[in-house]
Amino acid sequence: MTSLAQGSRFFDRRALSALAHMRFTTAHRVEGSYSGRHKSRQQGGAGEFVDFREYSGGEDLRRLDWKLLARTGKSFVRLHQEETNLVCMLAIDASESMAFSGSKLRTGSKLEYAQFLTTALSYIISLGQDQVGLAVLKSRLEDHLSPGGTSAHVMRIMEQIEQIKTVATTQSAPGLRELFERTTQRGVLLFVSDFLMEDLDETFAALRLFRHRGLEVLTLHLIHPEEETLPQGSSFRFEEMEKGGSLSCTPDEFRDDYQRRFSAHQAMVRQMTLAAGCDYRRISTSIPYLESLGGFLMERSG
Amino acid sequence: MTFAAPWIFGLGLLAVAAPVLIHWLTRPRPVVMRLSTLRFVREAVQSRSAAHRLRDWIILALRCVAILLLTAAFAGPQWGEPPLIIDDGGDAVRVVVLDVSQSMAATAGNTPGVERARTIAERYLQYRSGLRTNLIIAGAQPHAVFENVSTNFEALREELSRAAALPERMAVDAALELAARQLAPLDENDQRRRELVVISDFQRSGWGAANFDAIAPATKIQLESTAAEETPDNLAILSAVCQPIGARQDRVLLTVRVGNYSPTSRNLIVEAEIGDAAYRLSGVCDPQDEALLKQEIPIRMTGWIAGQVRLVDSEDTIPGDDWRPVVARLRGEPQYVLITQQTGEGTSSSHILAVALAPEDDWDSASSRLHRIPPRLLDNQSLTDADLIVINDCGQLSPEHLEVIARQLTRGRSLLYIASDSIDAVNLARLVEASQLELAVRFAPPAPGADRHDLRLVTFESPRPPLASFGDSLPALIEPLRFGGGLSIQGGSVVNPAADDSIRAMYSDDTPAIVVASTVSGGTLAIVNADLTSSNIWKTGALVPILDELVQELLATDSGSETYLCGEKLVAQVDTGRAADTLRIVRDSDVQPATDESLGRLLDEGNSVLWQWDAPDVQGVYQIQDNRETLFAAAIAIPAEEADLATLPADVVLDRLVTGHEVHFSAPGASAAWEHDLWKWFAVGVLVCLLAEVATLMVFRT
Repeated sequence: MTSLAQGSRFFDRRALSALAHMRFTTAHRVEGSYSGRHKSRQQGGAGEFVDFREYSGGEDLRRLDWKLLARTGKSFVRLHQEETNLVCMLAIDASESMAFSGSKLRTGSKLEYAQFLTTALSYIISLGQDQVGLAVLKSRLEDHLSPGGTSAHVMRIMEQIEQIKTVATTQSAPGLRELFERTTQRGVLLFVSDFLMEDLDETFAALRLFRHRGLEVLTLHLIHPEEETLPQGSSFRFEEMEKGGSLSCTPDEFRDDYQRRFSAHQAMVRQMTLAAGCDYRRISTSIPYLESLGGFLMERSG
Repeated sequence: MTFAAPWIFGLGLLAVAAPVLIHWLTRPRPVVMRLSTLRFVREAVQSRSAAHRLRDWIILALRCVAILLLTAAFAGPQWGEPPLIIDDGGDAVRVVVLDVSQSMAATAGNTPGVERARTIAERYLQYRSGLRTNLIIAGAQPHAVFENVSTNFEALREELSRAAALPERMAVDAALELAARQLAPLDENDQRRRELVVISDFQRSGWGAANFDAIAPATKIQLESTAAEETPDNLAILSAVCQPIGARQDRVLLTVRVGNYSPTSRNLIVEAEIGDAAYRLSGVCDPQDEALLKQEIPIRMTGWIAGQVRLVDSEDTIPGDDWRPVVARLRGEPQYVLITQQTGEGTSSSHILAVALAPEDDWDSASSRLHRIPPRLLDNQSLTDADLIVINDCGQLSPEHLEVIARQLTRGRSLLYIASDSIDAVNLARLVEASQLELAVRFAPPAPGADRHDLRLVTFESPRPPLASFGDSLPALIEPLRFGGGLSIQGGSVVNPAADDSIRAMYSDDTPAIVVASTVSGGTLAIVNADLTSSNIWKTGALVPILDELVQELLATDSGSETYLCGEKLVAQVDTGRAADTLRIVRDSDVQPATDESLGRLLDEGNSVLWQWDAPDVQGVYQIQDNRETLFAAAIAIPAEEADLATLPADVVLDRLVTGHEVHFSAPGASAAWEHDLWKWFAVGVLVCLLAEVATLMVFRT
């Protein structure tokens, strides 16, 4: 992992040292290429014994419990829980809305926050000998890196994350569907987005495909504080980030109404996420990413 | 609407740009910012911006309107035609004529007309340098507050504050003449501006024939009407007369004339209190019409009776004319004075006449109703107690005696002259001349050789009094009558006797038989052209009823029930032998007589007393008494014409009455009423706009 020392500008090893002892885990059974810490979906002859099952013809005779057959005259096979590594795919929404950074210069954009967060997460995952992949979702799937566990692969992921640029698009579903087609292993899909796309229903339909295949889907909903409350000031001319157009107004005149509408949108995203069988986590960019990541990992580790 | 300074609107238009400019300049500079959640902003703005845009437009409009109103207020808004008289400086003489007649008591919106008049008058009685004014209180006898125009405005306003509606009519022409004298230039160099302000309700009955010719042509005339927009309803007793009736005068005929000056028919109930008794009369009066209510009332006394009649349940605008005083004098059995040179013995004409006039009389008694006086003893004193003077066979009367008789005639006394002898033609001619009587015929002695006998009485197609009352029995009554003696007339015969009402009956030779004529003062002269001894009328029994009818007519004119009017000079002659200082004047049932001359003054004048009262001011019954004995009574009432509150339209006043002058007519209800203080309302409008702006902001904030 020494090669990661020269990582992207979003990678801060010293800051992440506080989280180095933590692991990205999942309660779901996963499919991995290698043995690991995570429960595999397969129950083979190795690993921890978990149960007996009556023998049926055609099964591998090597797994037959001869001793039990001798004692009882009945043929049973022994079942063992296999453990494998975790395959985690990081899907990042790179639509133009993710570039929103508010009116204050010292605050970063949601994309930057996502870059910090996913860079750190890929590092944490790699520390757990798990595989991590990357998918950058624009109008379609771009910069797809299949899961891997080598340092070089992680470094490449970090580099790809660093190079993400937003594009003006209002759709995420095509990219997710493309990603679904490329996904072969049942692992974890971590979708980082602000959920301001117009094809919200199609997006969740795509996420449901992942769930149907057996992947665990985690959604991280990034919210900028000024998206929640609108900036303070008497008069603004707001420009559309993705479709163009502008609107001159005084936020004070409708701030409460706006907040109600945005809160309703958040609630709707959360509701749709849970309804699709996905996990939902709301992350405000006003909270340092390390704090958000620590809380996230802590929560997942149980 | 006009403006005193319309050029200010130019500034106003510039000022209107101020709020627009302020709105534009103070508009916040927007911060350009890219926003990811613009669709939520759009949704919120769409639901809120319409209201806020409306708020902005309302506020901008209110501010612009406020500026415009403020501009208009400064521009001096004026409504209606400007008045003719404006206090714009310069020397001026101004006379204000204030109508205080009874009609000015009419209320409109609970405000009497005279109160509105005072308010208007006060406007014209404000101090201004170079202005001299006077105030004329115009009632029945208009009078000016000062002898000449003055600068003592305070005294004029003080006098104005005391002005109230009086129960009298306005002497319009007298008031205008008085105003003309006040406005007359002092000399040829007097070039001051002259202004006449007339404040009145311009009642049709009073102003219909007003004449402004006395006012100098250069005078500006401002007519201020205080009349209500709609003529108020009024019900009034216009007259009330108690007429003694019957030969014995033991009853009176009460005649009440009621005017209904309203657009609906009204049921009338009139309560009459005559003496100690009360009576009720009722009837119906059509709209804008008059009704006569009559009732015979028995009277068990003689002398003066007084009372009043009152409308019951008549809620109208002038309560003062809902009642009226009434008086009557019942003389009882009439007293006759027969001036004759006959002694009355035998079958003389005077004896026949005496028996016919007082058939029940005891001729030897001192209480006889008929007193004979020979012409040589004739004087004023001898005629004082006579109700009727009868002359028969008196020979040639001296000018002094004729003067005495003529004076009685001109004072309203009645005279029955039996013209039987040729000398009577001379007496009659002198009497007619002395009493200024207009007689339709001139009697003359019969022509020499003309024999007047066997004359038959010829009546007209429609019989006239005293023969009219006999009806169908008249032909039978007069058929046997034959007359002789009497006088002829100048010209021989009457050309067209039917055209002259004074000739009551004719003879068959076309000479008049009975002639009745009245003086201006009410005295009546009846001439019976016949020698009773040469006629058979006294033998047929027709003389008594014919004379009775004639005497009733003669005495009816002397009922003594004349009604005097409030505010107008009262002069009444009381025939009594008593001294004026022993008599007292009392009002109604007042026990204590007036000690001063507030009820007029009594003056001795020969054998009578003269009652003079310059301006009776209160309606009622006034009596002249001597130790509680009423010698004379007068009913003083409000002039009937004051009850009709119809007013003259402005165009009639301007086009017909006032010509040749610069004149302006202002009516309170007219749409063109002059309003020059409208700026206050515009200022209020500005305030309202500002308050509305605050309210708008508060409403949209919530």
